[in-house]
Amino acid sequence: MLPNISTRIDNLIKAMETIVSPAVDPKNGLAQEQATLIVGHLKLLNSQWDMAYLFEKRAFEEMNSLGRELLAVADGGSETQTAKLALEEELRAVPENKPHTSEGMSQYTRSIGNAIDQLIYACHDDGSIAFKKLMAESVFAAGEKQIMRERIWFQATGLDPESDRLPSIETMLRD
Amino acid sequence: MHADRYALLEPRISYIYNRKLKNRQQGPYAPKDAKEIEAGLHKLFHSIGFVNVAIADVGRMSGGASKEQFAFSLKHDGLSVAERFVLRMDPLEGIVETCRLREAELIAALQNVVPVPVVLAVDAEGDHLGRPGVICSLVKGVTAPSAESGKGVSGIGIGYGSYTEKIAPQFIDLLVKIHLWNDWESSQLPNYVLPAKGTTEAAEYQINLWAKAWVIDKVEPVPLITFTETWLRENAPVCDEPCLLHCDYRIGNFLFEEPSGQITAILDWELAHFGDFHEDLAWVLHPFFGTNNEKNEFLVCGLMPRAHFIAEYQRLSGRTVNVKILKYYEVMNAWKCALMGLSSAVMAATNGNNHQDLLITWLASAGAVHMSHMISLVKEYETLM
Repeated sequence: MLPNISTRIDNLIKAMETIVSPAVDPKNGLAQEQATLIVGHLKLLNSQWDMAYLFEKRAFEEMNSLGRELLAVADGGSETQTAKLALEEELRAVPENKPHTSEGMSQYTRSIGNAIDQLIYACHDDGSIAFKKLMAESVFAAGEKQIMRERIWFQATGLDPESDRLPSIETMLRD
Repeated sequence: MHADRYALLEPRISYIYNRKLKNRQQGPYAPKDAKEIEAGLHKLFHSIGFVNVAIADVGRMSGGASKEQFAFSLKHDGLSVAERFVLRMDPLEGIVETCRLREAELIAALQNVVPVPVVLAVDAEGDHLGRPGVICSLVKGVTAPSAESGKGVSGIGIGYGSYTEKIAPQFIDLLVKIHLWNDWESSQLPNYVLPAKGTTEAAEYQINLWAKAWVIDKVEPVPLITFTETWLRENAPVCDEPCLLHCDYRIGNFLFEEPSGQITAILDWELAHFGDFHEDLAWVLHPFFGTNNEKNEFLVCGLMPRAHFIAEYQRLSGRTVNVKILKYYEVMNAWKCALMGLSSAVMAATNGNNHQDLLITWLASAGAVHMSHMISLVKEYETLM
């Protein structure tokens, strides 16, 4: 693909920094801030776009794994049983040949995640004591993995106080 | 899911959430320009009976990541010399949905309690301004020492330098005054609800407020957010004596004069409500609002060490801080920081319904940082059992 996506994003950044931003009225604070944010977002996009599909694929795999883990231990009253069946259905709805786009993958991550949300509420309402304990352990363990992935994904914003100590996106997706 | 999970919600909050859902279809939202603002102000002032109104020097104010803010000069028959005022106005959607009417009621009620601006007018439904807005006097002062001006977003990440010693005691004293204020019963606050004493309602009202925002603005599911909602419900503490809370009392949300260091106004009352004083303390203590001093010691809100803040608060208020309840509200605060970024901010930007879509998506990317903090706090809470 020529010109490739990185080249075009680099060109956008250059045009913003060398032509557009200097032409913005220095008295217009909002416009100045927006120009800075545009450049920031473009740099962030350039650090992410090539790995977006792999990132979403990993997010799907982790959500799918959490769903299966919870399904295996779900136990409780009628609300828990209903939510368990709904989750089972969403997990079964995932095709063997999955989409090859990040949005296509996200669609399945969302449907499983929404079913997990309902199981969390149901567990709160009438889950067994043992299930509540396992639910907490599983959700926190999966949450910690998700948090680390997202912190790495957005480390280029500099908003993370530990961004200097985080591994690169490539390393995160390889591990 | 139980249909009544969010039943305990202040009626006005419930109303503005429904209004938001209805209005979000009107987007995308474009930032207002000076002409539009001036025209809206004329309509509003005409509706409240001002005669021979002259509006000048309308200018957008910096900051205001959640509301559009404009300063302007006003003269009319009842005001012979032009004075400066500030308009705070809602975009169609933002990082948090709050109510200008509640804000105006409370600021008016607090006139002789703590330093606050004077409310001139409120357009609760946006009938005249186009969007809901409140107009207050422009108070003299700065949010950061002039040497630090322009640093950080919304005042976060700045330090007070030589003003630290002057501001720190006032900062605690004013917080105590807010919490000890007991004239609320005789004040005109029809759009506020007081949680019942000796119950868990104080926590529940807040869980429901944020959980409802998650429901209406969820862009994609985050099981950890949903699970933490249930954790907060299961661990909700009893509040024996609900009091007024500012709920965003921090660096960047008060003005002080240079060179005296005198605090001239406490700003940004949009999240204020009645609840457990630990909730406000937990917000002040949030590491996001602090900075390290030259000795690499962490200062809450860039002003003082955590232990000093708690000790001084206890001494001045006569209240005893319960470490476990404080930790509970630290969890709640981290949860709501993550939640508002990952839901309402992204939803507003997705719909193009904010005046700063780019800024709120940038800030929303810190959602995982807040969740990381939240998990650490839950673990700390469990060790306090």
